[in-house]
Amino acid sequence: MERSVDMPHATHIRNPLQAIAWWQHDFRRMFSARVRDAQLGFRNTWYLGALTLGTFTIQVSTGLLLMLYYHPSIPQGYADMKDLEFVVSSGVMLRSLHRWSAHAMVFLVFMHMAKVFYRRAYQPPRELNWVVGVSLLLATLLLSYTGYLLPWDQLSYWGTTVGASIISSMPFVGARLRFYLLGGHTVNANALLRFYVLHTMIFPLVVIMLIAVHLWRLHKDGGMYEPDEQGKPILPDHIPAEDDLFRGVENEKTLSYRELLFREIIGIEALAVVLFSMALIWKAPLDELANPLHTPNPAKAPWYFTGLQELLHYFPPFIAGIILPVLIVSGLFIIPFVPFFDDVSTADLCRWARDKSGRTITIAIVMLVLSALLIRIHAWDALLPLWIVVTLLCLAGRTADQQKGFRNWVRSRSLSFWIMTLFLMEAVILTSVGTFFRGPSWTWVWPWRG
Amino acid sequence: MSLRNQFGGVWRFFVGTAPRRFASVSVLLAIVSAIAPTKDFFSQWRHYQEEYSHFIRTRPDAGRLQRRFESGIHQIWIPEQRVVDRCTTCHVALQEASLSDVRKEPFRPHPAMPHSLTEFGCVVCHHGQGAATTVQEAHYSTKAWEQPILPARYLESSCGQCHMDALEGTPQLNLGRRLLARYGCAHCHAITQPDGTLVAPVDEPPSLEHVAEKTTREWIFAWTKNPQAYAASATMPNYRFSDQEASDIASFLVAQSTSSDNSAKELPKSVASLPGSDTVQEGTSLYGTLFCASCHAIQNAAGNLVGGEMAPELTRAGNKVNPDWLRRWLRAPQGYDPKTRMPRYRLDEKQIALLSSFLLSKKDDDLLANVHLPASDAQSIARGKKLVSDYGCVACHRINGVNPPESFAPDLSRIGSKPLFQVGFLRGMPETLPDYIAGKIHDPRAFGPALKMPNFSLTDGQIEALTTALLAQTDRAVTMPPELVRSSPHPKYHPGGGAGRLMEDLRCQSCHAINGNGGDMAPDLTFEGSAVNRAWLLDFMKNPNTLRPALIRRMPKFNLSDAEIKGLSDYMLSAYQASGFDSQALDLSTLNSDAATRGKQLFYSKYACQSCHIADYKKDKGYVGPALAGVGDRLTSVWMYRWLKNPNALLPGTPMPNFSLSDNEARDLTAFLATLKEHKKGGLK
Repeated sequence: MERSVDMPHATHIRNPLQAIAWWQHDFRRMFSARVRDAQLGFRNTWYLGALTLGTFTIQVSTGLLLMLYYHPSIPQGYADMKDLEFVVSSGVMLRSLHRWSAHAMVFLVFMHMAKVFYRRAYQPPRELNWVVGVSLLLATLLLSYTGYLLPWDQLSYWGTTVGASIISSMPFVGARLRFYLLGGHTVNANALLRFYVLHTMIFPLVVIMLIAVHLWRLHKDGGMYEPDEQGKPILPDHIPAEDDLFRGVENEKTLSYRELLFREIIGIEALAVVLFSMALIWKAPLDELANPLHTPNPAKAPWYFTGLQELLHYFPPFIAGIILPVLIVSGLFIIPFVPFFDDVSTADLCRWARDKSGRTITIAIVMLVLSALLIRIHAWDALLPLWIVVTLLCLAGRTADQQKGFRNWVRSRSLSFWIMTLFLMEAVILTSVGTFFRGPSWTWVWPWRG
Repeated sequence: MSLRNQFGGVWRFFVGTAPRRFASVSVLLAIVSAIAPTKDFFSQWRHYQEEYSHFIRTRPDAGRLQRRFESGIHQIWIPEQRVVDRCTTCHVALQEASLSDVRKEPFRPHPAMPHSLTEFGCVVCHHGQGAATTVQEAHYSTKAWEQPILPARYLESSCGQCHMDALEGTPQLNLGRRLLARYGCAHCHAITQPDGTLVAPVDEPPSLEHVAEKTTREWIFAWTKNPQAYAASATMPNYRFSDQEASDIASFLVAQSTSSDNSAKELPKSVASLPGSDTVQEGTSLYGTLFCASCHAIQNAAGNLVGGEMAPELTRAGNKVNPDWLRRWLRAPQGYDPKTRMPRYRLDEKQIALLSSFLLSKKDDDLLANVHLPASDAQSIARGKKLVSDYGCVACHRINGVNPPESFAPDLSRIGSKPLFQVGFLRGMPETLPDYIAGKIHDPRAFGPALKMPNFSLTDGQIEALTTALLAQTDRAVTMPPELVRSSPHPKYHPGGGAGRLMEDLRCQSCHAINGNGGDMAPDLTFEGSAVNRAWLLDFMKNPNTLRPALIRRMPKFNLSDAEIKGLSDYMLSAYQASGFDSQALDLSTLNSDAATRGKQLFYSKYACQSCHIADYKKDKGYVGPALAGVGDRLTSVWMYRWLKNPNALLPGTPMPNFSLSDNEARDLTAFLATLKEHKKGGLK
């Protein structure tokens, strides 16, 4: 057991060693004093939170270095891109690293959210932390969107223009919101400056503050989430006294936070190696200077928005650009506050329909209605995840209560599991289609045929 | 130990415990981080600079070259023009004249050029991506930069972005611009020049308002089908009309024709009315003595085109023109076409008859032999009218009942900067802008269905010149601030008064330039009043002789009355003076015989003027400059003196060199030249 250090009060620090001890103490307060072996392992969290923080750190440091060279004006910004590519030592590496880390951060933050969801680590008392996490997701996306414009090439300019048009499709306030965002009626020098300030000052400050709150809440909520034997979370007020906690588990190693931190740093470094290698191998692309008179065909948004662009193909801008995203984001926020969906399992659903044929008919009707809706708008790619989920549900429905096996596992999944899985599958498919399978005028292309 | 155990051991060594994992990953990260700065060290431009520094060690002036060489990235930076050109990073030796024998790029020095490197940078002339320091990005078309390096054969187009004058060093560009004006491109395409004016066409497509008087439907058909079959030097392009279409056009043109002023006048007599003369021989020699060949060309028996290109080719004129029309025309060209450049020759009836019979004998029986057109009916005329409107004939020719189209063809003012996404290339052709322009001129209708641009049958050299001229029409050229445009604009000049009217009637400016306006076939008359003696001028106008015996072209004899000659001469002598020219500048008493003797010495021995000028027809063979055998009659002494002192001041661009003569030498030469008089009136000796 770790001996508690006799901690002086902050005002009584008299020498450097005591100062260092104080900082260590403070630092440790971010992390629980003890972690259990079960919480250490990679398979618990995949260290995704730490990796996301790692990419953010890379972004801040490369971003600061890039700020030394970049002027947010037209056309000097584009000329600075050229300078970075041709003149600045390791300029290509710097820019490429910043770009690929940005993509990695968006990807990792989504993965982290999914992992936290599937581990049910949003259960009380972690609701606030979940909300902070979703806010961080939105902030990450906005950081990415504002940074996208800064190179001022064709891709940047038109991607931003498309995004701003979506915003303007909001009723009543859309046009005004767009004006505030762009500082004008078109994407021009004002928009560039505004996006620069958002990207380098406002959103990073917001993200840093939110991260601080996120980590502090993590500590307050009892550190790394771990369910007990019944699958219920160990809540702070239910954490047994230290002696009780470890009475029956003397054989189990108890470790200090350093062990977890160590592992997370290794994970971050491994990620850094991967990102650095990517930056060395694949140069960040740069198109021609932005030309307001020439719209490239197709004008695609960054990959994390191509799913949305694909939706835009099927629904009018108001539905696909405003309603659906608002529904999705609200849905994400309220996940911890609607335990109903968590508590209803597939087996419960099946019991609601009294007999087998009733179940089958119900499911068939639901599936047909949804499929008809999707087919009517020619959304073929969105059909696939729907059918997979429905097939699995049917599978669950046609089995009796068993104790083991894949079917039983399916039966025990909650409704919220299915909703999130459906949403994630749709997101993956729509994003993939939008990125790889769409060509000029958003027509279908097979990527291997070009 | 088995391999598996050994491998397991190594694995555990590196990643067995968490600290070891940490160490391994950290080392890996350190290695990966070090790669990028190392790559910088091996960058492409550094490699070229190292090669250069090795190379110059082998040169005789190695020490000097090494001192002048600095490693690192070099750039030409002109912020006001937003020029950032890093070409000199690899092309380090651009200003090292001592390396002029080097052939290997990028170590060649730049050839001599009128602008310095730091004046405008490199990209303004050569294009490409100036900010780049890699070969691929700097020279070729990439995703980030569309415009590649301009091929060397089109380089003169860059000069044309600022310069509108015909420069000595840009023959290709000058030729291209002349072709643009001469082949009528500017009739359909608007081309704005750097000074804001439009390119003015210099060809004069004839008005077709009275065409039925002049020629037949059959001839119009044959001409429309293939203009070059009638006249090989015709600039009218070939529209590739079908037989039906050409016939319809001919029907329409004949139907819309009205009567000209000439038609009402009395018809001059034909040669049939002339009593027993050898009309063919006389007609031929009349054609010669009138010097029609100064403007018109005729193919001779050997197939060579003899004559000028200012006026229509007459090789097959007999197939074309109506004999009555021809005689009326020769008497009064402006009666048929008030805007024609042909002067009124004041020919008498006999001359008209002889000349017209000569011209009518110039025919090719095969041209119209197989042309049999159906009768012209209302549908044919209607179809013809539609064709004439659709194909923009009225952009060039005046035709009754059809209005000139506006913006008939695309504006070419910025064709040199056309982005490639707007260009449709043919399969298999290189996808660059110069290739597109050249290909389009070569075969316009290959680039799409239902295109109307006709085929111009130009040689490859002409197409290359035209492409050069068109590539000069860039965004930069059109948006050039006026103070940077290099041109010498000439305001339009028309002589006034009675003399002016006579000069219009005689179309003097078709051949002579006065105050920057007019042709360049004959001497510039801007300062003629200061240059020539009155007696000579009167004599010359009565009987023009030649100053350049080697040339075919001559001033025609216009049969002017004495009153007309006097009026013209007085006007020229008083109006066409050089500014600041003091006719009393030279003390004529100093031009004595001693001075003349010294001058003769200077002429023949010291300056060898006879290499270009003929002072004595019996001895001298200099055909470069005008003959000086009668210069004492022709030029005033003051003019000769001033000319010898500084020819370029009186006629900019003259080939006569400035010999930096002292005052005495100039005076002596003037005295000698003043003694060169011809005592016979007019004609060669």
